Amino acid sequence: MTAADSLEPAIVTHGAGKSFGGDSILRDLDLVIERGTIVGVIGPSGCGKTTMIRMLTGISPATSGEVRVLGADPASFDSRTRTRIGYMPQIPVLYPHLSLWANLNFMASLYGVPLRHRRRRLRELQEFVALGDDRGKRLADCSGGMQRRLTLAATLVHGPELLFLDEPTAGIDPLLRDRFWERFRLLRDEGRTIVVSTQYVGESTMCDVVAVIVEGRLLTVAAPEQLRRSAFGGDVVHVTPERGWMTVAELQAVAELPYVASATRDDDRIRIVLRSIDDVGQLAAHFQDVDVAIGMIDTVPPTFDEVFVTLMRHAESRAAAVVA
Amino acid sequence: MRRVLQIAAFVRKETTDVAHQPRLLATLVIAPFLILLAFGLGYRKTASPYHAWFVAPDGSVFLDRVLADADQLGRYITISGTGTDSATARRLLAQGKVDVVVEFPDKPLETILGGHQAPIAVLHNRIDPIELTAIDFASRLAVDEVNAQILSGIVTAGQDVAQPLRQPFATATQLLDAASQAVGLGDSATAQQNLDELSTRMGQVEAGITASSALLEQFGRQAGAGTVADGATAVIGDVADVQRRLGDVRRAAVSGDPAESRRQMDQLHQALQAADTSFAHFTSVEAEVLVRPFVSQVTSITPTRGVVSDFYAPAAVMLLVQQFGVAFGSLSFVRERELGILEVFRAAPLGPTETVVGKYVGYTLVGGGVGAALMALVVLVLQTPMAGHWIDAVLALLLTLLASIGLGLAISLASPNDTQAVQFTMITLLASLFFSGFFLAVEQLTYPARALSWLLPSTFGNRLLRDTMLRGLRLDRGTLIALGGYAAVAFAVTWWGTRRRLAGDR
Repeated sequence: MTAADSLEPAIVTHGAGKSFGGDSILRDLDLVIERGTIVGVIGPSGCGKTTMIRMLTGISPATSGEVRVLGADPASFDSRTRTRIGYMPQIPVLYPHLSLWANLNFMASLYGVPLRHRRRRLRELQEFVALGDDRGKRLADCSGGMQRRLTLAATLVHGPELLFLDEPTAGIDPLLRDRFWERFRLLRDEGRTIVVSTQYVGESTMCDVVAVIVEGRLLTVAAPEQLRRSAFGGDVVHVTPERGWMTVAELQAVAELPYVASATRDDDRIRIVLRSIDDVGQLAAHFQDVDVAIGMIDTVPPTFDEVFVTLMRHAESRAAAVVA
Repeated sequence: MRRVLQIAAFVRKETTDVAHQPRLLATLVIAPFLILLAFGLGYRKTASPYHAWFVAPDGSVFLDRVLADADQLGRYITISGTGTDSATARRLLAQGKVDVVVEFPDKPLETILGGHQAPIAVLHNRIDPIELTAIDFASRLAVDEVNAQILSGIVTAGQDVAQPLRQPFATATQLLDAASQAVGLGDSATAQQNLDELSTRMGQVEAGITASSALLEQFGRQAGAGTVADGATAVIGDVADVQRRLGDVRRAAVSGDPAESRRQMDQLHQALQAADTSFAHFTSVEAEVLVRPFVSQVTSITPTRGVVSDFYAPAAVMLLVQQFGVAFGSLSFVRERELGILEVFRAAPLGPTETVVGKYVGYTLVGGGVGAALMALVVLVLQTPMAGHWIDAVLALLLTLLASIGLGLAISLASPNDTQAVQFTMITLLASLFFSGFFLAVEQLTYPARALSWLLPSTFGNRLLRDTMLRGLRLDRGTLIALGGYAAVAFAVTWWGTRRRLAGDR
């Protein structure tokens, strides 16, 4: 990596798109991904996540717009650039008749990993994906989860500086999934860039940046917290009145507070969106002033599933408005 | 360095992949060998005799002859029965109780004397083209045998008619000697008497030979015994020459010129010797030789033993080597595409050269091992001769294997899924059985069918390996270059196809 390389973002796209036949799968993708970040790509099934990753790896280059990955056009990557990239496809793709070790060794050779350090490297990776005891086992005899873990190890075998991981944690148990993310963060801390698509929306919190794709369009790119705030218009807190209910006037008064974006009933609780979480003290003072006894103000943020669903609803509303 | 590692990766992967399938290896080596061994042990060099039913009128000389020669026919024909009713025989044939029905003509002599050939009908129920050819061939041989036996009888009869004339010939020579002596002594009366007697004897000879000739002419010419009749005609001509010379001697004696008389006497002596020689030739040559003047003596200049498995063993080895290359090659890219690994290759720093060379080397190592094992089994266990050089055999195997791998990889690149690849492989096998010279010689095929032969690597391989193993010849340069060219073109096509595959929709 040259000095100029280190300054340049890992990925830059301007109006990039991908069409197959007459069908547009990705449209107007404007994206800048800085080096040393974990970028989560989320979106409903079939929205274009995999197409985007294949486009960025050069497997299926863009049909419109401009794409630069590690300073080069993916359509004409040279061998050196390819060596700097790691790609893990959505389905486990290794040889079923070969042992786990042989598969890993094959991938190491494919990327020219020197023989001198290879054995140590392969052992380390097998330990990382918790397959150290199964190195002689044939891939065909392994479970889907084991195959997925080995595929991830194979992707990391040459120490790429830019990783494209298409749903790497699908079918992996929660404990190992945590280890994966821990490893991703370590890789990020080493300065590597990771683009990871996931079906677990909750994993967005592990990312530095989240890109939401809906129907082939990039809906938003933001840090997880920003995403949450933009989904709900601020920070969400829950308040439970001790008497079990709140009058319409009392609810209206809360909604009209200058630091409150909205206040709505949520079963037996009141959901209040604050413009900033820092205003939670003022909110507590307000309930004291109006003599409404409340329990604790619950500041636990909504899950990313909720965030995702909310963002999707916003997108659908906007689309409906445009059509109308 | 990376390229070397990548090639080595494919070599290791392909060899390990095959080695991890011991049943597959057993199927490739042991099973075909056992099939070949069973074929070699079980195949009979001579076909089982046909069960034949003969139909002929009562008292037929043909039937008597067939029954008399039943022992000789035994190798080819078992006499199931004889009869006079054609319908019964045909019913037995239709019911499959006999294989062949032979119907002799009712009145052959009348047909022949009427200037026509008398047919001997052979009916059968066989459907195998090879058996059909064999029956047709055997029938011709049998009829030729019948013809020859008849001719032999005719010739013997002709010779028997002429045989009593041997004495007049001997007496004629004594009379000529006596006449010469009388001329020398100036005893013209005795000389004239001897010459008259000589003329009478020659007349007897001429009459006898003419009768014999007429007999031969009557039967022999129509049956194709021209050579025998020509022998009689030659004797008649020589006797006529003697009679002419006799006239010349008489005229010289009347002239009273002793020198001219001696000269004419000498010429008569020579003519009489010539007639005697042709007569002796006509009567003494074996009738068997006269009717069958030529006999075939078949000798192979090759060191083969004439064992059927020897002929098929090299072709079987080549066919299996070809099928190894085609089968593994054809599934190679298809499987990788179906497994999704091609997707990883497209993202990796991998070029077509490393991919193709790696696969070629991997399959060549395993396929070479399979070929070597088969060759060892064929030579050491089946005792198939290796008349030529081992190096030539290895070169032929190697080039055939390389061409086959190329063909297989090209199929793999052209096939959308492994089902289709397997179908192409089976079609290649089927085509090889018919077009590669495995069963039928390529030369028996006409274009464009023969062009199909040369699309199969085993066609080249069969020719080269059979020449080497069975004939002890060095590799034919033209065939070798053509096979090398095939392998090179197949490699180029595979390389180009791989390049396109790796590029994806770039």
